[in-house]
Amino acid sequence: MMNAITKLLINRLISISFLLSFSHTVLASDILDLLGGKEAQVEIGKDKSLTQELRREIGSLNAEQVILFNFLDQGQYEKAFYQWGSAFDGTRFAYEPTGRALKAYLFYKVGLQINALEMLMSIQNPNTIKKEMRSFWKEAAPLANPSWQLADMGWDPMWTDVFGRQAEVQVKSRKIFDANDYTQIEALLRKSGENTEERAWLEWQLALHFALNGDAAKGSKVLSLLMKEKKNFIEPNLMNITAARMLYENGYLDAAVQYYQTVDKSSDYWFVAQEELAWSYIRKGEPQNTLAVTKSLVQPSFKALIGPETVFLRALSQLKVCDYKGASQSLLDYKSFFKPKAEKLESLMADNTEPVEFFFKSLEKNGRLPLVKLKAKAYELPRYVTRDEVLYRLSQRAVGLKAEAVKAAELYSKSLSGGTAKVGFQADINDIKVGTDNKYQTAKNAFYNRIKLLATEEVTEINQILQKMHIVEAEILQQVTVSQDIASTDKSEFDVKKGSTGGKARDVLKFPATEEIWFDEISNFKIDVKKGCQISKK
Amino acid sequence: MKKILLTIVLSSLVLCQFSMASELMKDFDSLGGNSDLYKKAKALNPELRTQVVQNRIVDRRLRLELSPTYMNYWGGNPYLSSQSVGMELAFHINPRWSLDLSYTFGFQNDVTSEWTSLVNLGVVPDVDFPKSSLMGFVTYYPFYGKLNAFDTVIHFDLYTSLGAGTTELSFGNQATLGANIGLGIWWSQHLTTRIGYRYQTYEAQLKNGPEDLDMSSAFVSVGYML
Repeated sequence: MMNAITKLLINRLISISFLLSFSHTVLASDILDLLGGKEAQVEIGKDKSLTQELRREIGSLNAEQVILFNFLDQGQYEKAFYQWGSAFDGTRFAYEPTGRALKAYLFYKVGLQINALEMLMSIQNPNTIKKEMRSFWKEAAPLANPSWQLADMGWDPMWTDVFGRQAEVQVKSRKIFDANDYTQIEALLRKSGENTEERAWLEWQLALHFALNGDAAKGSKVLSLLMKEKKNFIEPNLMNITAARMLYENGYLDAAVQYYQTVDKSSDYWFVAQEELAWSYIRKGEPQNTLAVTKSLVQPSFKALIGPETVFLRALSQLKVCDYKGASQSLLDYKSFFKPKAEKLESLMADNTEPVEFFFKSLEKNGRLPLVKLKAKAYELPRYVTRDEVLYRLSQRAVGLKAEAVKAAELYSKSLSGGTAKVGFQADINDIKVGTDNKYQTAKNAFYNRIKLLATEEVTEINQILQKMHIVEAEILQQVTVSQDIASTDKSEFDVKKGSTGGKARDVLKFPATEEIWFDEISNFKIDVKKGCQISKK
Repeated sequence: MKKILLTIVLSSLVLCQFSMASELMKDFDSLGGNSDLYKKAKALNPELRTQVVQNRIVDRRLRLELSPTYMNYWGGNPYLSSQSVGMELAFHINPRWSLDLSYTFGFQNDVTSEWTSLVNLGVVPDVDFPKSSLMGFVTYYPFYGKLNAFDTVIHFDLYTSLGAGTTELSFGNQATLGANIGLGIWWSQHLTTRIGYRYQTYEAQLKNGPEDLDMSSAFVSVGYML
């Protein structure tokens, strides 16, 4: 009897030895099978095929690694995440592309998605990552996931095999291209899919490239294609103002005027569109219309929304019709609008973070928002803050990283009970938390610095226009002094400049303009000038 | 030594920035400070005529407006108190002119306390009840204005109209002339309200012979613009 049992044991051992010698990649579960054990009855996750592949890749597994893979099999990603340090720290696998991809995969699954993508994209030679791991990544991180937009990463062409051409286009096209990046834009356009946001963005960049390089004809063609798209990924007001600018630059002032008038009042672009519309009128030799347009803009309630050039333009048109009283008032308006603004911006440049924090929180809460939504705080910030694409992207990255920093802190505090082998808080998870915090702070600093840069540019602009306003003042003085000599004196030939602004429908309503301006009257003023620069004989 | 130099350079940069800032503020202060200039400038005014020219919020070209109407009469026969409801159909040719068709139905024709007093004295005054009326009007809207209602601008028109039609009385139909003055408020592209005064005149058939009655009524309608 004893002999029989001994024989059976020897046979079993021989079988085991044979199997072990047959393959170096004996799996822990095989051993479990051989020893007649059973796995816990748990729900098996779809990562089973991944872990099988990885088990084969690694070969013989230690107990900690077995535990990690079991967690993965069961879809318990948080536990697997906590287990990583015990299982793989210091191993060769942890530094291999597949190991790094697996670690990034765990980060992704526990909610540290920006970190995960950045970690993944930092892997050199992604084609050496195990095929199964790559396909799992592809499935786990669809392109619609916002972390693709937020991660700071380059693009190794080999990743195109993993995530596809659309991912490549999506990552590369996030860039705000320079005017000279035509080759890059064109190459990406060829790869982009039809009716995608990336394609629209690239076409938009292409239109800008042509416009900035003086090829308005090509720029207009691309822009008109974009404008005809059923689904507009680029804001229609931005496209309209761009079309108007192209026409203006090429001297088609009437057409430019029509396009400027299509920009919605509710848009942030409306104020700049009106300013440029006023420039178009002055170039057309219609200062009365410039006066009418700027009358709507130069209002105390709009002081946060208009640029310094608007007041200068108004003063210039007043000079053109010899409205010296009005021009003198414009000098005072300029001072009352832009002196406090310059002070606010200078305090921003000197580290007053309060308005920046307010703006950041508004972006965090609402996403992209128009400047008017910032109410009184808009006056303390550069007027382009809500339109600056770089700033918006920085804010979104900071918001994303802030959420991840919170998640990392949560993981760290849970690590006391979440880890399996280690007791107490895990230092490596604390490193992740600290690292994410640092990334968030970096993004936030970049956001702040960008606002400082915009503030500096705006103060410079205010200063430059201030110098021009001094010239206007000198011009008023000179013209007033010699006005008796330069003005026409023939009463029979009084010049009348009829305005053409305001409502254009057949059945317009006309009201006299008063000091009090109703909100519906904005951009509906019409000014006729009579006896401009003419003095009657007495 | 390097640290000291760096500190000096940085301090100079900061000072330079502050100095630039104060220069800018001084520059601002010097703008527009010439009072003599303003006095002279004010004496040289060109004539600037500034108007607000804006589109109507509600288009009233070639549109139909259907309005249920309530009218309360006074005047005319002193022994009769009448109220009516009806329907107005207005065809707006443009914001200045419209053609209107008005049908009213007298849902309440009561005798007054004066009639009762006379009856108590043994005199029974004769009355001829208006049962319904159908009239056509030509309406002219010469004046317009706007209201600011809780930061929403609403346009309105004052109008006047002249018309003719027929009134069905207790003792038969009578030709009727009428005139309105009213206020049309255009709340939205579809919702309207009219408040006004209507004058109507027709001949009532009484026992003592026909008598011209001049009826006045106040009306209010809430309409829908098609």
